[in-house]
Amino acid sequence: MTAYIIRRVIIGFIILILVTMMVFLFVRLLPGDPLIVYMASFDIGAAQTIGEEEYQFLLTRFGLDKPIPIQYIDWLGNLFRGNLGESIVLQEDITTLMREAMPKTAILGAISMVIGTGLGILFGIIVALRRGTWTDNIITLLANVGITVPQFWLGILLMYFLAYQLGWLPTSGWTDPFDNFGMFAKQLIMPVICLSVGGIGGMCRLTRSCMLEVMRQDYVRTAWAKGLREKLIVWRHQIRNAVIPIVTVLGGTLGAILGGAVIIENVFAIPGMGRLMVTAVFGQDYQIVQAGVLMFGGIVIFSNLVVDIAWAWIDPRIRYD
Amino acid sequence: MAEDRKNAPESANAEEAYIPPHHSEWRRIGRVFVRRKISLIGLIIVLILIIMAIFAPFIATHDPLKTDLRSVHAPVSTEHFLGTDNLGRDTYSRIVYGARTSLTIGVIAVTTSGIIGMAMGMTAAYFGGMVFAIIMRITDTLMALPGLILILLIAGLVGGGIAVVTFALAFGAIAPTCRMMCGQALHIKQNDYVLAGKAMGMSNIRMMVMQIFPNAFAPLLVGMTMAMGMVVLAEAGLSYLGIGITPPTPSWGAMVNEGQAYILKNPMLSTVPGAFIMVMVFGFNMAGDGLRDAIDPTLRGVI
Repeated sequence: MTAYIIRRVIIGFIILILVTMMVFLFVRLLPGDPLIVYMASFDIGAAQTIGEEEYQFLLTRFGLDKPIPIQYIDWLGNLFRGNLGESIVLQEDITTLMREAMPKTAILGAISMVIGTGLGILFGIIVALRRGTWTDNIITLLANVGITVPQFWLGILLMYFLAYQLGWLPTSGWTDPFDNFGMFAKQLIMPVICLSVGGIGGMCRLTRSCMLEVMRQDYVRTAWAKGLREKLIVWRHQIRNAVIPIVTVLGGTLGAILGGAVIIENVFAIPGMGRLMVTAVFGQDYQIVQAGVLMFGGIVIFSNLVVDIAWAWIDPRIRYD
Repeated sequence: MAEDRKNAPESANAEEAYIPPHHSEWRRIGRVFVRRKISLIGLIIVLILIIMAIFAPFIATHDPLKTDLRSVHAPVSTEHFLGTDNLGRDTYSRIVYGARTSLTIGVIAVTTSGIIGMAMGMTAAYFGGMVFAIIMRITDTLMALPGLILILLIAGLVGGGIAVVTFALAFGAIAPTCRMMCGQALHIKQNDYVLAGKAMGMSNIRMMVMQIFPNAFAPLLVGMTMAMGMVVLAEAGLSYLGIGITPPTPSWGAMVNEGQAYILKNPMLSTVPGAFIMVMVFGFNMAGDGLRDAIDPTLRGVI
């Protein structure tokens, strides 16, 4: 087990390094000069009026004059010291910006993840136990709709009906939970619905097929044959075995929810990572985009690592492949 | 079928050679597919939308780009089936042309990523060893970033427009295709006919193209159908954010965004295009689901 964990951590670390390289190269090699944008941000002096000398000064100031490998090493070094650099466009410390934005996305993502997987697995089990009935047909159809519906569209529909027409919920925004918890919870309802719908649908479908697979197994037939109580068979033999493969997709689900959060934060004006990144894309503030992408990548790599280790712990066969 | 052949000589006439009845695999797939109503509905939806995209000029009633400031936010009428937007453009016609945008991007992105992903996956599985390790680490790296974020990074850095969005979406879809193809090819590689091919001295390329690819094709078709749904959804998301398709081109995602500002005045402006996105993705997903179950029921839930 220890050997497996060590191997898995090393692979995770290599992937993390590869991700930093990819993100760094993308940003440097794709077109778009951040300095031009920076200079254009001073309204008096447009890009043209800034001379060669000032351009060179700025290049040196932001370290853009060094060769690309050196820039990468510098950047990586700062990264591991928790210093994400300074935004050229906003002239603010990126770490500070992230520290403000990250908790909001984390809260939103964590709640959606718990609701999405929890309800999804629950529905999947119910549906599998009642396969072929109308409950099965309806919930399975709804699950298929759930993985299909564009989150931003669902958000707008909810906003239109629940906020504008019925006036039950505030349209959008974010309130600090320590300031006004009621408001915080109310504002969170619609974004969480939008983000968890896909997870519920996906998990429901997966759980259903895993359950149906397990139900066909010999050990389940043996359990029935030796006259075990139905409750015991369902809980101890079917559900326990069906849940194992579900663990493996949790990393991917988290990734999908984080990706969805980028869109949903923009629909509901939540000042989290997604909104920060999309605003940065419009301002061509590539350093924030870069830092944000890395942050998301790091989270996904880490959660995949945890999932893999958890899986190997549950199912010893994995460790030896 | 192999069992049929084995049992046959013991039955009635041992002298006569037993010829198993010929079943066309594709015909069987078709039969199973059609039997499941939901997948048939999916296929019909997809076909209708494809027809809509191809014959857009005949189906649309107006020029989707023509603004008419005299009839801004026109209500539903026989002149404008779904009313007009804030610039007086006909919503119905824009939706019809939007199908064209979505499908063009989807088809190009999925086929490009399909070809590259398949080649990578097949190479990794066929050669194994170091090649396998390198290609798998590359896909791991690409898959570490949530799909939409990787696409956002590319589209955001280079700017919007159809070409960039297509490139970004294709790039994002390479890794999953590669993974799937690799899994398939590893499985196929163990078959005796591959060994026979090797014994016959087939070249590596010939082996991949003639032996492995045709046998992996069916599940890949399923994967690509599913990928269409995802790509269409991702394009809509990007365009909604304003990073994807740039304004005058009709795109469903962008239309939802444009209409959002007028949600109280004219709710149809953003809700109807959104419904079309959903219907299209639903169609592709259901058709893919049906195809998967028809091709191989044991794959249920795996792809």
